[in-house]
Amino acid sequence: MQPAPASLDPDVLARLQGLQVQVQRVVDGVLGGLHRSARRGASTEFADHKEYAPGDDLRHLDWRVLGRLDRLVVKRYEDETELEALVAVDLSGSMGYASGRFSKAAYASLLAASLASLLLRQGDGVGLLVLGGSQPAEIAPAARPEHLGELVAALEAARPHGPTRLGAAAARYAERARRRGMLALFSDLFDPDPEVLTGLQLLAARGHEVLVFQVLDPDELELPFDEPSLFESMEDERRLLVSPREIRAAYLEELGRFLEGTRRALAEHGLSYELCRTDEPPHQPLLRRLAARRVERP
Amino acid sequence: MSALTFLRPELLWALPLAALPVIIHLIHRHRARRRPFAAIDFLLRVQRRTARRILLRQLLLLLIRTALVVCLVLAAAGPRLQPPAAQAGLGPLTSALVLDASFSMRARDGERTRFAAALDQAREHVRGLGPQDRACLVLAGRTPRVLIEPCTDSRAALLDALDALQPEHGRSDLSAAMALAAGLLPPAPAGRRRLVVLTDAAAHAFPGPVAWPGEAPPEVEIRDVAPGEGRDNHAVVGVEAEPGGEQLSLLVRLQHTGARPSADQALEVRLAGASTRGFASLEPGQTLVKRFSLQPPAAGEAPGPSQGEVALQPDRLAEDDTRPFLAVGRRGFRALLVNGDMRAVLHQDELFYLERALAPDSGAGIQLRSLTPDRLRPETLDGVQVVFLANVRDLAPEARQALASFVEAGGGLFLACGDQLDPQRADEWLSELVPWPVRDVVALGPADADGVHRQGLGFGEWDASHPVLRPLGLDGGRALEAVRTFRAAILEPGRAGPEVRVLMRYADGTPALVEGRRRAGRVLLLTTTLDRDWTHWPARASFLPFLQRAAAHLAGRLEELPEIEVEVGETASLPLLPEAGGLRVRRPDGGLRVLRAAPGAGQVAFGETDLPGVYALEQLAPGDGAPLRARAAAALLVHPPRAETDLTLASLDQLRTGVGETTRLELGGGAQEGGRAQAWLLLLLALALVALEAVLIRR
Repeated sequence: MQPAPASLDPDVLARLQGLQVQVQRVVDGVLGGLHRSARRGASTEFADHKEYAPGDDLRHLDWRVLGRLDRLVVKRYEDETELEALVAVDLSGSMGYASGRFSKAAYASLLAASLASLLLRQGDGVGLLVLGGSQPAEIAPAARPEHLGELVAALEAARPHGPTRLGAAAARYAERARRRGMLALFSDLFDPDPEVLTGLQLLAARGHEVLVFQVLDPDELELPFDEPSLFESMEDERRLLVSPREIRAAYLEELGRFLEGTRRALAEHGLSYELCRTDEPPHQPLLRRLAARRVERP
Repeated sequence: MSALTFLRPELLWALPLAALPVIIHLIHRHRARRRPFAAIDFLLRVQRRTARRILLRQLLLLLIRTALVVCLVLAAAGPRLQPPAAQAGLGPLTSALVLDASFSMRARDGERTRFAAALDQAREHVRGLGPQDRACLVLAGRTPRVLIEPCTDSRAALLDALDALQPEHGRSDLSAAMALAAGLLPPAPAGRRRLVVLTDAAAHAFPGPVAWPGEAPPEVEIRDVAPGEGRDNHAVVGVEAEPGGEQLSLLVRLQHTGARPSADQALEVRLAGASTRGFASLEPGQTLVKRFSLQPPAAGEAPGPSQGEVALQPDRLAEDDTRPFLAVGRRGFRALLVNGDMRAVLHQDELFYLERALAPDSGAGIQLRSLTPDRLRPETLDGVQVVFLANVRDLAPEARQALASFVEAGGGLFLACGDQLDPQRADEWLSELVPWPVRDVVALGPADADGVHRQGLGFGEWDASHPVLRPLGLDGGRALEAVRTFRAAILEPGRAGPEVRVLMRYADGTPALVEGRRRAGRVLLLTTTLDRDWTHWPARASFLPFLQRAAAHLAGRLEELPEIEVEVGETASLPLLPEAGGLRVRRPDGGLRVLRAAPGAGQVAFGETDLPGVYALEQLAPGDGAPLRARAAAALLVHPPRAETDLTLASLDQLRTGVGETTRLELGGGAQEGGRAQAWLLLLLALALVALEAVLIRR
């Protein structure tokens, strides 16, 4: 993995006004990363043409069409045919936690919008599902480039709030999805409902590609506090007075079990999983996931 | 079962500090930071699983921290495990408390003297007595004193006796005091008997084995009230003043005992309003001599040496860091010269040579006044210490009487002969003053062919031990032998006074210089002239020192009283002038003591030297005890015992050898011989608690 440019540092990105601008930076970072990495395992079965867009691999430029029609078109192969993708962002109360400039919700929104932008660039239809939050939203997939603006607006309008209902949402989507597609879920997965996993597994069983980005804050991963603290739930009224030092080891052990269990359960059903820390450059989880996707689907 | 007591029980007031850990814990809980947290599910799960263990750990930590504070406070308070005052089945305890009141107990550890610490422990012991227990009290001072006898169960009586005690300045013999105290205990096997000795346990306090009365010595507990590190001490142990030339040379002896060096200690010598400073660095066990040169005290009329002081930078035993000394300065006096043969030609005047020999610029420090015999009045003798009658034919009766009173009161009179002296008349007016009446005037030496005595006689013998003549005989007497005298008065045979001494004779045996006494006064009679009429002596080099010393002797300035220095508690032999009938002693505390002695006793014993300092001495006339006029007053210097400046701790072997095998020594500073738990155990426990806390915190 190439080191991240300074402009992709979360602190720098957070200072940029507007999710759209941030998305552009992240997409640029992803595309730059993809161009630098070796392309391996790409399918060679031609499917159709599409108009050239910045970021498309020039090696797939159809020179014949260019010579005959003076149009820039690129060849698309079987694995690059249009698909219908749904980007789901968890904006429940727990996603509002922030130890740095980015809350988990903001970080997840940025990742989701960046992924949507990448998909739209290659002509895929992208929809949005905002789970929980102050303004839950559901936007049907569309492949228009300007569709990104709608998605970004919906994400910007929502604020993290209330409990999580990931399980129900996943099950509902699994039932409604008519054709094979892709679901990218951005969440901390702190929803205790076991149906979350069931719904995602159902989607995978029906041939959907499911990408799970688990977004966590460094505080949650390290519990770095020393002084006695009164911890308060961000979704309900639960509180706990405790000295973090005394339970840090047990907490980290418990969290480690949870993360490992989640990763293992998703992997067993062919679901992709990526752990994202809100203090790492946002393009990196996307790059890791996209690079892994190429390896998994030669 | 043993009882727990404390050396510094007042520190136990700090025990409530043990609540600090609990208070701090509660404050921390109260001030816990509110923290919204998304992963609270995990925290709650963990807390449910670990709540009991965490609570137990917190309680354990609180317990450890509380115990840590308790341990530190108890250790600071100086805990001691003591056998109980009474034990079931063994009967009541009779204890004899021996308090060391020696000089070294004046050392201070902080604000408190060691004697005060010993008193506190004694009070603590008394308060801890059981209802059947008894105690008695012995003070180990210069001589051991029984303060409470027989042993009593009255705590009030014991505490009152303790309240009245003060440390002394001398040595103490703890061995003797312990033997005395053991005699106050009931004989064995009548119950339990214990000797509790409260002391700084310095090695010098145990001079020898204790002579225990009876067959079975009691149980002995020696409690050291000095802290473990409080054994270093420096002191001024000697000052010697050596007058010589224009400067006074002072040798200061410093001593340091202990374990650590005493570096760069300020040293100051103060004398007659002036001071000189220096520094001294001493190694343990070292005695160092520092030399100072000082301006001698200015000349004055007051008799007696000047008092100075050497001051070393104070340490814990500050009273041995200063030491007084005496310095003899040049002291002037007044002399009245009565001219019996005044001449117009200066060098033929009777006083020509005398005045030049005693002139103020001669260095003798004498103020001179000259007059003729007819102007001698009683008032002219006021403030005068010496009168010279040079070739005086006669004096008015009033003057004679005044002169006689002057001499009887201690004044000095020098009589010189001459052609004005009429032996017949002199027998009348001089009979009350002269020690040996004059009979006639004769020529000395063989006559030449023409009958003139030109050869004269030299001095044939002299008393070289007399202070006037001592320096003149240093060259073997050649200076005196070279003097030629041609005429001299001869003295009436068989009429010498009772205390007359012939100090010089001419070669033919004729007395040349005679000394007599008239009560407190001294009289010198020179049988020749003070000018060159009858002798060539005024032209000789020996004439000037002779006259100067004779004048000083008559004024009492030549008395070389030995330097009298003793240690506290020692008996001093104080010198008496031959004409004195006693001494008046003014103690450092202002108290006056009058010591009587027969004239000529030479010395008198003085034993009230219980205070260090300067004891002023005044020679008294026999009879009425009036101070002797113009006689030098000496002083007695009493110093703290040098042995007491060494605070080195007695070894356990020394104690067991001298006191007994069952002796238990409780050292100061918390440690204890004999394996009983004391402060150091508490400190070890505190260390263990700190380590345990660290382990618990890390887990």
